[in-house]
Amino acid sequence: MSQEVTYGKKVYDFLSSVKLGISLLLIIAASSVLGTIIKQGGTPEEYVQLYTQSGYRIIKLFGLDDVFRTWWFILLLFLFALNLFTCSLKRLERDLRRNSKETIPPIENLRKMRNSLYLSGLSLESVTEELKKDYKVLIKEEDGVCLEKWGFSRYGVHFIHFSIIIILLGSLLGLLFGLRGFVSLKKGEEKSYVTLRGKNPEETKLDFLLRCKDFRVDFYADGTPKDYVTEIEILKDGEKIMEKRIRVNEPLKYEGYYFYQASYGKEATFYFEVDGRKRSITDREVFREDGLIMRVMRYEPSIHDFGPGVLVAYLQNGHPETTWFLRDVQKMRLKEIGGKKVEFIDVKEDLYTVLEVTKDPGIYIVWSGFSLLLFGLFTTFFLSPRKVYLRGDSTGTWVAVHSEKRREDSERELKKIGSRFYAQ
Amino acid sequence: MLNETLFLITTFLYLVLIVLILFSEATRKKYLFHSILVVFSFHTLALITRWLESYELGYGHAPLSNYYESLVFFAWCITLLSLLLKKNLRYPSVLHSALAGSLLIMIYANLSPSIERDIKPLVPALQSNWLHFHVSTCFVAYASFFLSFLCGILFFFQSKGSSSTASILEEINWKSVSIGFVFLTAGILTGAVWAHYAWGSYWSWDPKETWSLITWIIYALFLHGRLVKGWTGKKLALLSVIGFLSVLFTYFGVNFLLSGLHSYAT
Ligand code: HEM
Repeated sequence: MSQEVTYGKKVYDFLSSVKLGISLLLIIAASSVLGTIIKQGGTPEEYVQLYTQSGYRIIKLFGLDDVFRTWWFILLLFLFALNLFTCSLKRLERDLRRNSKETIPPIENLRKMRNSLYLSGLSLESVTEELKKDYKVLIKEEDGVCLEKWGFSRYGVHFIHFSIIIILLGSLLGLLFGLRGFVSLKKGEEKSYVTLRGKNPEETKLDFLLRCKDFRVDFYADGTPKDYVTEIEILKDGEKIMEKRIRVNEPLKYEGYYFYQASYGKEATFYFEVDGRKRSITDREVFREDGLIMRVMRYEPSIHDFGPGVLVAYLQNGHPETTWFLRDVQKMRLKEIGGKKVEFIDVKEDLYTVLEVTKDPGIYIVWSGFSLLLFGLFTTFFLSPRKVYLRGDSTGTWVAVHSEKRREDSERELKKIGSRFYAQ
Repeated sequence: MLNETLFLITTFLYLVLIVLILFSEATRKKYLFHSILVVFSFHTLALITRWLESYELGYGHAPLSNYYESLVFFAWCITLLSLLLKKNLRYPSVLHSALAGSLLIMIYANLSPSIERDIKPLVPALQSNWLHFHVSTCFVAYASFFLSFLCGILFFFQSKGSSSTASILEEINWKSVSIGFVFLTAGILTGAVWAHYAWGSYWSWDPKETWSLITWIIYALFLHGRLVKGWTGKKLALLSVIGFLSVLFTYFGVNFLLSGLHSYAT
């Protein structure tokens, strides 16, 4: 039984040791270096070319082509969080215990302290009253008082360490329950689904409708892009809920989803007449009607000054054939393919906007962690707790200042206190 | 434009300052502070002029947006910190070599033919206030780490056996790393917030992000080494050199050797 207890304690001591913490930080840093010098997310061919066949085998074995998502890297982060948590818990316990054991030194000691002064003619009560404006009273005895300023900064280290755990937890939440995808919309188009990113793209339905009212790109005089703007409407049950302009750096947020201006593209729509009936197809579409199967393979806005042309592929008695149509050349405008009269009427190019879509339920936890981290760092490095001990005697009050971190702080604090009373 | 002339004058003034430091005993104490103040004022004036001139061109952005601007801002931060920490820089070599660092950066930025110095418009991704917070906090951090690096280097060169200079150097080093660590953290966090608003992901393990994390870890090791393990002397000096090499790689190496989102490099 006691054997087990000591064994468990050993494990816990190891888990919460600074040594393990430092080792983990070193290993995480080294793995991160690997993750930046080895190409990430490449194709097998690229790896074989860069690092030879056997190099590729090693890379695949350890997941070095996707270091930051391999199981062992995630495990390292988990261990790190656990180590930081247990280490800080131990520390916090100790700090709390230590700080509850505060006592006021006797008057002989105060007199001998380096940073002390005697306020003659001022009673303990009046000094305490004055100092209470800026200091918190920790202990109050009959002839002595202990006050403190910025005591919370003693716990700055704990804010730092716990905030890192909070950030890691927040990002874990995002990894587990968040999503990333995109939606592309032409002007006037509506969609209520998002295409998820991943090896096998799938779609997820939204319970509202996105309508792209407008999309435009502005340029500076020198041709650099200046602004990408998508005007979006959100509709629910046929009713307009919201209207918003999405720009880079200004995402739209709705029901936990963020929509970002990510990129844009051009899509051409081709207008044909098939046996006298108007038809339109886009770049990627295959046209099928009464046995005619065709698609546009290539589009040239201008072919040798003859205007726009399209290369059309179609099936002729089961064999694939291709032919060029030119809009502005009478002879090349109308052709008979697949037993039908096909006439190329026109082409229209539309811009479409691509919105990155994300959902991250951990984001506010991450933000809180960030704020706490900065707060903790600031208090740790730029503030230090100052304690003031007071002991009154029959003619006045002894004041002594103690700062745990730096002696200069005590000196400065004492000066401030002195000038406070002597100025009066 | 006027800002280019002002930057050239500033560079020249840095040169004069360094020459004064090298050859004149008198400037060492009394006039040095005021001389630095003059150079720094010119440097500040040049930055402000560039800022105003970007409005004249119709672009209107703080001079924190491309490689050239980041270099002159880096030098400005080094000089600023030297001035602010003057009281603490009781080891004059640190101050002098910091100013020499500013001079070298200014020469490289303003005279190298490979650097694009025109004011350019901002592409949409860079049009964000977070960018300004991000860049300014990062470069204050880099400048502090540069001071720490100098302390580390000077530690190895100081005369043996004089423990008082060693402890002064260590103290300056500690102060620089404290400031640098707070600002680097702020830089990484503001960068993450910016990335969230611009790309929809606060952390994507892009090489520059990853290297800033590596740098951060190295300085965290520095802090714990001293506080928890009680390291002093050579170990800390070595860590501050390694840390700054990592800063340099984050700043230059990633731009020139690896590819990623942070396309400052031309
Ligand atoms: C990268 C993550 C970490 C950061 C940013 C960090 C930050 C800090 C900082 C800034 C201090 C200095 C506080 C001061 O000036 O008094 C500190 C102290 C400390 N840290 Fe960390 N830390 C990290 C990870 C860890 C880990 C993993 C451990 C242990 C396993 C640890 C244990 C300690 C201890 C024991 C102290 C000394 C506290 C004291 O002096 O009372 N830290 N940490």
